[in-house]
Amino acid sequence: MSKRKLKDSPMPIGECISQVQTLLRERLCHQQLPQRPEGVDSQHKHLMELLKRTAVHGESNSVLIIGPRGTGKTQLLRCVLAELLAEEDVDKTLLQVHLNGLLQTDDRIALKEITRQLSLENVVGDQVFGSFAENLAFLLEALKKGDRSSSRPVLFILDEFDLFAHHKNQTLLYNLLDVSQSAQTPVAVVGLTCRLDVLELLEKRVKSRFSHRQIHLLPSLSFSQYLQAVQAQLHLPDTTFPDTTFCYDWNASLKALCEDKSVEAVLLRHFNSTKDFRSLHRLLMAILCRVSVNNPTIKPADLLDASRLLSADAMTNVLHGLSILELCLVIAMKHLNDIYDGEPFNLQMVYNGLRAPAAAGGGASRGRGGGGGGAGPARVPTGEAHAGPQPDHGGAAEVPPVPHRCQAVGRLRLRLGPEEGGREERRVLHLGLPRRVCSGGGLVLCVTVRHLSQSLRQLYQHAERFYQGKPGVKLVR
Amino acid sequence: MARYLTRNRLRRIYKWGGFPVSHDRKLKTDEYDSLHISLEDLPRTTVITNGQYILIEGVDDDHPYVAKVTKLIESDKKKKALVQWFARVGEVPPNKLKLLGREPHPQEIFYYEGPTCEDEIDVESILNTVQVHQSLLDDLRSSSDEEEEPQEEEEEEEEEFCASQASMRTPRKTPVKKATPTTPRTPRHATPSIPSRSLPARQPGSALEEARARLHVSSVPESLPCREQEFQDIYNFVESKVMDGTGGCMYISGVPGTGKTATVHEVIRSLQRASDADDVPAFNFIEINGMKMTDPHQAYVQILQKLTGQKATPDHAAALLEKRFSHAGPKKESTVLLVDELDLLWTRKQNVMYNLFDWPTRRHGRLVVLTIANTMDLPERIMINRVASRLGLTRMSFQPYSFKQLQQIIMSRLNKVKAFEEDALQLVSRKVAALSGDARRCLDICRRATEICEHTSLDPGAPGLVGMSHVMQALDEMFSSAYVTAIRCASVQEQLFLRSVLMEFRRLGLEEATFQQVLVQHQALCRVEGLQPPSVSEALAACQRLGACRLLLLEPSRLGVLQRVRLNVSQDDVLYALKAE
Repeated sequence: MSKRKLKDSPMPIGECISQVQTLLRERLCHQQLPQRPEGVDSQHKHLMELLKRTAVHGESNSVLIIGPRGTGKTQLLRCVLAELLAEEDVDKTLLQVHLNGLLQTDDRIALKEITRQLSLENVVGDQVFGSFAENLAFLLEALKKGDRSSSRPVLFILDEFDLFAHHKNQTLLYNLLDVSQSAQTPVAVVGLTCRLDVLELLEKRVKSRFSHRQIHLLPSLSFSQYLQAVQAQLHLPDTTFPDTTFCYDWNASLKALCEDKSVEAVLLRHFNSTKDFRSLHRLLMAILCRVSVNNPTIKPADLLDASRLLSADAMTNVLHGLSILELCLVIAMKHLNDIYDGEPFNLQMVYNGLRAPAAAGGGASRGRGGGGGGAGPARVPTGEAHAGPQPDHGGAAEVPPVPHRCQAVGRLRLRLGPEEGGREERRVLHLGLPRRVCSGGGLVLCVTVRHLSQSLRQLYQHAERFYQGKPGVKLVR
Repeated sequence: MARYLTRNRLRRIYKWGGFPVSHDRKLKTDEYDSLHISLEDLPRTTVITNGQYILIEGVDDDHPYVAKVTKLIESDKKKKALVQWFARVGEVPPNKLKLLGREPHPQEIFYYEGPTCEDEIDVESILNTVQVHQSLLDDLRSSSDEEEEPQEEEEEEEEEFCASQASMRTPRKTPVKKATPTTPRTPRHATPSIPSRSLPARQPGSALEEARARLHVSSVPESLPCREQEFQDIYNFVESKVMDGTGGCMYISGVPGTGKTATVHEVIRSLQRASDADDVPAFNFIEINGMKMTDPHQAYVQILQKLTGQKATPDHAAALLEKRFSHAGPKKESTVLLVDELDLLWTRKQNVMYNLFDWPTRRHGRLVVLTIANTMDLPERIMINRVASRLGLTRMSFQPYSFKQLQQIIMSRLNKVKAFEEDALQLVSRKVAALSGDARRCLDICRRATEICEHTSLDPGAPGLVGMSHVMQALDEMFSSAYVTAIRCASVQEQLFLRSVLMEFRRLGLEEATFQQVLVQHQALCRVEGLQPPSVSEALAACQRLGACRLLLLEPSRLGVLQRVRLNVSQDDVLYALKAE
């Protein structure tokens, strides 16, 4: 009675929004399993039958689930397990061991983990479990003692299966698969991997013991199915959502959203670039974050913004934050990179390259500077000579005096990139440490331009956009 | 789910009944004649007196240990009990169990006389009392073996905590040939086991399920067809060595799945049958596997443990074994040692292999070593001369099965269960014989085919026979490579990237290009296709995804745009996959 009342009475909008946020966030963060994974019915059936036979009949099996990242391998397995454990007498029978190749990086750790998860370790009471060899012998003996009809079946789930193949001698895989092929405790070994060539990694005696069952999960959806999946991901359930009117409005706006041409274009671009569901979820999450009391439904503009945010090029972003001097250096390096075809060059060459166009722009041609002296800062006389090394203060477009080279290096390293000491800085410029000392005593630095695949024109465009309208800035072409 | 022991259980309270009967001044112990056990908050108490049979808490909650109380003492303020252990049927090793000469009753217990087991226990490990019916003991004393210790045999009706279904059984008596209580394993340090399931596993119902159970690699066949010659050779070799009381080595090679280990096991089984019938002297059989140990030197530890039950460090074990095999014993049995996956025992100085092959040559060794490995020329390839020479030239190689043999193997396993069409079997065996001759593969394919047959049949009640189409599908699932399908299922940008890799290869005339070079092609290709060219990050991400499935081989990603790209599939496959759309 009270429940119906609750359902009929409109809830405050803030309440609805927070409900939507919780519900959809759970869905997008993979905390909630779908009823049944879509488009993988045959794989689902195969895996279900297989695990059921292990659980009910005590038959040993081994299987690999192979598919690119983000195609729902783990989700499929979790769905099957949830369904299997829902059956009575299976949940009390089946033992599970979850291993991950990224966590259990060698057999020693993996064995410890297996004994822990099977809670075999406390069986010996106070005996301290020492060596790796003992652990292995112990586990093998435990598995060997069981038999098909009376022991509880054990399900081994090896996530990132390919990493287990890199363990020494593949001892763990050999032993697990050997148990699955002999009359011992019934086990099911399920491997999850994204490598298509995983069977070639196995040693031949290990391979012979693997049953060669492979379940391939490949994303085969078309764009219309993809659109439907997007809609389904954001859809609110009519029956369980507390406020019916809000739910109705939300679903209607969602439908309108998916029919919008610009939205379709954005999603098509996303679909063309990857079919990974995780990346779709990232996009939808970014949209969901914009839903608030003031903005209760999703608008096409939200999607466009979110997509722009996610697809922005990381390198380009870094260039936005550069100061004029840094940008000039980058431009000069780009020139040199084209000239020398990717060969490394030193700071002196960059400086010379920097001076040439700037000097042409400033109308003052000077001799090369900073050839010899390592002692004092080499000075280049310019129009406003003492502008100092800080480009923002002085006439930045004109060539600032070259500071002492070591200082220059330090400053460049500090100021490149949006964050101090962040990674971006190093990805734009590889400013090597002083490699060798010149005959004249000056330090020569090797500078290599990496990640600069933008054309020079693009660089200039960025520079213009960033520095437009700033006083005292004159861009050099 | 992992189990954790966080269970609370009822606390038991232990009290002495009455006052001490006597006091031992030397040991400073008091002796009592009864012990009262009561559960917390429950009025019932259990009284334990000398001579009573009790259950003692152990490794396995379902099967506690059984013992008989001989003395109840208190020393150092601790309540102790001296007990005589009894072994359950499950605790007796199977080879000793055979000596009984009859099928033991599941509730039967055996007098245990192992010296290794401590007989003083803490009373707090006592769970409850149990009733034991004794059979007549006197007959046993007159059994044939006089010098062996006579064995008491008891029959036990177990009374669990509130069990009421204690059925009356007539005590059975049987002559026992030998004393059996030489289990190396003490009840206290028994091996752990996977807990047993509450419901028994379901038995196969239909003919297809029956066939599947029989085709599982683990099911032990009645006989090993197609290896009769090899069986006979190995049998003769081992039998002659055991009969003469000498030692020898044999090297068995063959690709995986050709029945090497199975044949040796079969030989040992029939030899053990023969030795039970007194045709062949008794012998010990020990099996070690190079893959089942973490380090080659663990081989010594495992051999010693299986031989004598002792635990030792590798060095100590090697010394003990050395002593054992080089000195004559008063009544020494021959030992047959099976070393599986021999190549894993390789060390730089090869001393493990050297010792294993050297012991059989000793005069008093009485050791027969059977070694198994995959490669035929292992002795020549990895062994130094003194090791290879000791291994000798008794070699045997198991050829991969031919299709006729594979067919025969399946037929004999199925053993008249009609589940397969004749043609289907022939197809499987021909296909496997052409690929590897691996019997495991053959059985796995057949098993999968029965599943497919079950799924695709219209009438679930009577699925019919496994036909060609089912077998074809199973073969396809197991052997077809997924590369082409994976390329077809890849996203548009990934496909374009693959295509631009091909274009760049053609332009360079090399099978390798940097990402930067490919990117130029990729962006040009996008313009041709009328798509918006991807940014560097997007293209790099597509490239990494292809690298993760190993369609491309990439250098470490820290190199960024300068990383080199190679194809992991043939160019023709890529073209085929992309063209078919």
